[in-house]
This record gives sequence, C-alpha cells and structure tokens, in this order.
Amino acid sequence: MTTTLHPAIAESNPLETTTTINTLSEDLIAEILFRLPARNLLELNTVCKSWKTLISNSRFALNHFRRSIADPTMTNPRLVYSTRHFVDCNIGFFPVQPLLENTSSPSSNPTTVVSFEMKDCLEILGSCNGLLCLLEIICNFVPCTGVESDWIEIEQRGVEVVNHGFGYDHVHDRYKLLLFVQKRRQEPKTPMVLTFGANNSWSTMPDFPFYPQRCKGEFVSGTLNWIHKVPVTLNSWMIVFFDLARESFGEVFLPFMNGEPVLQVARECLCVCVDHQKSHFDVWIMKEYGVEESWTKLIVISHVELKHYEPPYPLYLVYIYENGVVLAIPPTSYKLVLYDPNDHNRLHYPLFDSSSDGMTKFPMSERAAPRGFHVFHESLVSPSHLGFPSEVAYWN
Amino acid sequence: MELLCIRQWISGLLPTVKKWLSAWCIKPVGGALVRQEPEYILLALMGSPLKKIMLCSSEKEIFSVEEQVMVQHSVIINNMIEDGSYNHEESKIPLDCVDSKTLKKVIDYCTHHTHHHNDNQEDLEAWDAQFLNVDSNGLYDLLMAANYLEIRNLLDLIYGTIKNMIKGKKIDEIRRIFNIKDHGFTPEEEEQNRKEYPHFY
Repeated sequence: MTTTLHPAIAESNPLETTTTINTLSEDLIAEILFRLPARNLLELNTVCKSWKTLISNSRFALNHFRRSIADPTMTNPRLVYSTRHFVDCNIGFFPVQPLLENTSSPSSNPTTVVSFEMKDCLEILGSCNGLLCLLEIICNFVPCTGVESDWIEIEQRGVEVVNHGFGYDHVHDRYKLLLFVQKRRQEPKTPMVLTFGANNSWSTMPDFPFYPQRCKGEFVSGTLNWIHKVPVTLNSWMIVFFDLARESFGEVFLPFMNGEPVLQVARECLCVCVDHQKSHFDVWIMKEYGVEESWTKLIVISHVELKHYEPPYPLYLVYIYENGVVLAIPPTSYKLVLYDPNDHNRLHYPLFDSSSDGMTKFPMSERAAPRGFHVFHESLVSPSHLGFPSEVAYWN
Repeated sequence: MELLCIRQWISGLLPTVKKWLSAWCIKPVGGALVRQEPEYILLALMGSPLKKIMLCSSEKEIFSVEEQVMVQHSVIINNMIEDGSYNHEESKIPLDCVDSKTLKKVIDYCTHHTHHHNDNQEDLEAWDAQFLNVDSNGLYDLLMAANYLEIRNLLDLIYGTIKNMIKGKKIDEIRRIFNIKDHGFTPEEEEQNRKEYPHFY
C-alpha cells in the first residue's frame, strides 16, 4: 500500500514544521528507509553513524532492493549499453521512463556515459540486483553507489568468452558468473563458474549436458536460462537452465513454436519472442517460473507494422512498463520501438537516438556502432558487500 | 431454550454458515442493493449487538470495541482470539504499553476503516490525513501502538508520512526530526561527507 502526503496534511499539519520523533529502534528506522529510493539513501548515510551502518549493511541493501523492484520510481530503471563490437571503453546509461513519455530528446535526457580508462572493448555480461558485471577481464561495477571492484583475470589464458550468465544465488548469498570459454573456434567450450567473494573462486563443471547456442544466459529466480533446440527435432525448442545454488541443470518446455524463440527477461519473468511463420512476432511471458502452464501470449506484432524490420533477425523485448506498454529493439539497430497493446495506433518510435551520446563512433564515418542493451535497476548492493577489493569511483 | 443460549449457539455456527450466506447477503441501502457482511445480517436478524471485546490501556481504562473491527486490523488480537486465549465472557486484553489516549485513537482508526472500507480512495486518504493531525509525541505513541498490535495499514500510513517528512530535506532538518544530537562522525569524516554531498548540507 502506498501513501502520499495529502494536501490537508501538508498545509496545516504541525508535523511539517515542529516534529521531532523520539529515538526509534533500528528496525523501525529501517522500515522508514525501505520506502526511500537508493539514491536518497546514499545521502542519508551522512546523517549519523548508526544510519550509515544500517544502510551499508548488505542484508539491508538486498532487502531494500527486493522491496523496491516492483516500483520504477524507486529503482529508476535504465537501459545500459556498450558498443561491444568496437574498441570502446565506455558504457552508456539512459532512463527508461522518458521513452514512454516521448520526451527523450538528447538535450533534455542526455545519456550518461561512464568511461573506464585503459580498457578496450567492454562488454556487459549482465545486471543483477543493481550490480553490473563487465567483461574486459572481469569487473563488477555499481552505478548507483559508484563502487567498482577490482578487475579479475580469467584463469585460462588466451581464451575467448563465448557464452556467459551472471546471477545471484540466494541460497548461499553469492553472486556467480558462468562462462563458457574457447581457445579457438571448433574446439570444445569449457564451462567455468566464478563465485565472487573474498576469495574469488573458479570451479569447472565436469559434466555439462549442453552447450548454449546463444551468448547470454538470462537470469531469473536463481537460475540462468538459455534457449536450446530439442535434439533430433526440426522445430522444437526448450529452455535449459543452470541452477546457481545447486550448480545443476534442468529443462523447461516451451509451448510449441514455429520458429526459433529468443529469450529475454522482463518484469522478473522469462519472455520469448518468436518469429512466427515469417509474418508476425509472438511474444510470450512465463508468469510463474518453472510452471509450464503459466506461459501466456502477451502481444502479436506483424512484420508489416515494424518499419525497421530486417529479416531474419528477431525482435528483442527489453522492458515492460507498468501500463503494459512494451519496449523492444529490432537488432543491429540503435533505435527502439514502443508497442502499446491498448492503443490501435500501436507502434511508437521514441525520440531515442544514441548516435550523439558521446560513445565511440566508427572511424572514417560518424555512424554509431550497434549497441547491446540491458536493463539496469538501481540498488544499494555493492561489490564491497561481496567481500573482495573494490573502491569508490566518483561519477555522476 | 433461553434467548442467550440461542444467540451463543448461532454465533458458534457463524463460520460455517458464513460461506453460503455470503451469496445471499444483499440488502437495500438508499435505494440500491448492497452486499452486506453476513455476520451483520445474521446478528441483525437476531436483534443482538455485535460481539464486543474489552481492551485495557496502561492506565487501566477499559475500552469496548467490536471484535470484528480489531480482528480485521490487528494481527496480535486476531491471533489471541483464534487460538482461544481470550474468553469473551470474562477477560479483557491488557495493553500495558498503550495509554488511553493512543488506544482510543487506534480504535477510531480501525473502526473507521472497517465501516468505511467501501468509500472511495480520496475520502479515505482525507480522513487519514486528518487522523494524523497530531503532535510529535502523539505520532510516536501511535507508531509504537501500531507496531505492538501489528496493524499493517496504520503502520504503512505512519511510515509513509514520516518518509514524506524527510524526503527532500537537508541533513540538519533530518537530524532535528529524529532527535539526533550526536551524529558520531569525526570532524574529518564530516568534512568528507560535506564534499561528497554538498547539496545535502
């Protein structure tokens, strides 16, 4: 239940001007602080020592994030992206809300660009609980608190990271990264798990039943998920998942789909987008993770409606707003599309154009490189909670 | 059978008949047909007052309040009644950490929200705003009472109000509101804090 300050209370109430509240116990203070967004809480660190201890606590940060995830005003969701195909040491942030209001001109909502010196070709491996995991070697970066952990080297030398997934194991309270590395093409991929902590530990998985075909594993509900083709079939697909707590595998079946589905996560649920019989896209959402009956068809978008559609590329679902409007990205593009299921003028192209945002451009031409987009939510969770060396990098 | 026994017998049957009654509990109110809570109808048919419980404040003052009202709002009181530790005929619930003035306010809140739960949102919010028109001690006492009795919606209301009080305020104001006289930072730390968040000071 949310409460707003009623005009009557703001005008006449003596509370506004003369209140002092007797000393409250820590859990009551925590209840008040849970209702404030992460950015405000960073300031409140300076009020007094006991508040600072409370707010910097990792349990508090995680509980605060869990309670605020459903409310976009609390977590300030943003698109974070890198130009991974190019030599670029920047990542960019752009808030999601202005896209809906169609006021996103570069001047009124500039993209925030964060640079990492001495690094090339940054790729975003994933975002989880307000942490961003970046790959050049490997680093954890938290844009809200601005804390950047030390870079970690991948144990094996001279390998290329082919597939990856970053997520949170809530059973053991650990953040884990699953990587498939490969020395050269056609050679077998080696799966490795990095558990972040005071001693970042690598472990290899001896028996791996599958090799993911797509790059990124989607994190939801303590698992990393990939689309996988059911063996010995023409057009049957399933989801294979890696359970971060048990470090084991499983499968989830999809409703029959006539075309390769693309997996995304939106609203903390798995979504698939299927290019259905080359005439339209179907978007499905799995409302309850692991419950196959909870697959629900969300929207249908015909190819004709999409202006920038280039076959055979699929559509990536990025974010679902509270009012049901869907934000999607036709791939190899830096343009976005908004789809409103409640409006028969259904597609809108927000004025988002990241071509002049300060990210590196292709040389010899001023074209912007294609982006890899992720959705990022703010939180107080910090790499320093993970127990390994990190420092504050002031930005913003 | 005496009337008293009949009443008790019917009250005992209440939970089981509630379900099939609820489909039929329609009564005319102001020209419209309104669905009415089954207990009210059943007991109204019997012509008896609604079941009451006794709450005793720290000042030993007794307040009589409808059982339904308190059970709907207070988890603590609901548990006491459900697990049978409260005997209607004899006992009262002692609330040693809530004084009379605060207890009366809490009862007002619960009663209003039970009887007016069908009102529109704006009216309820206006009533809530007026309800919280109290001085600082009053607010603190209400918070303690709501916390003790585990009244979720009153707690949400109070926390929301306090959160709004501190949102956007500067650090001195927040320290004053929470009566923080000694912040515990060294002068060097304070200096560092000022540099990090200059607009907050």
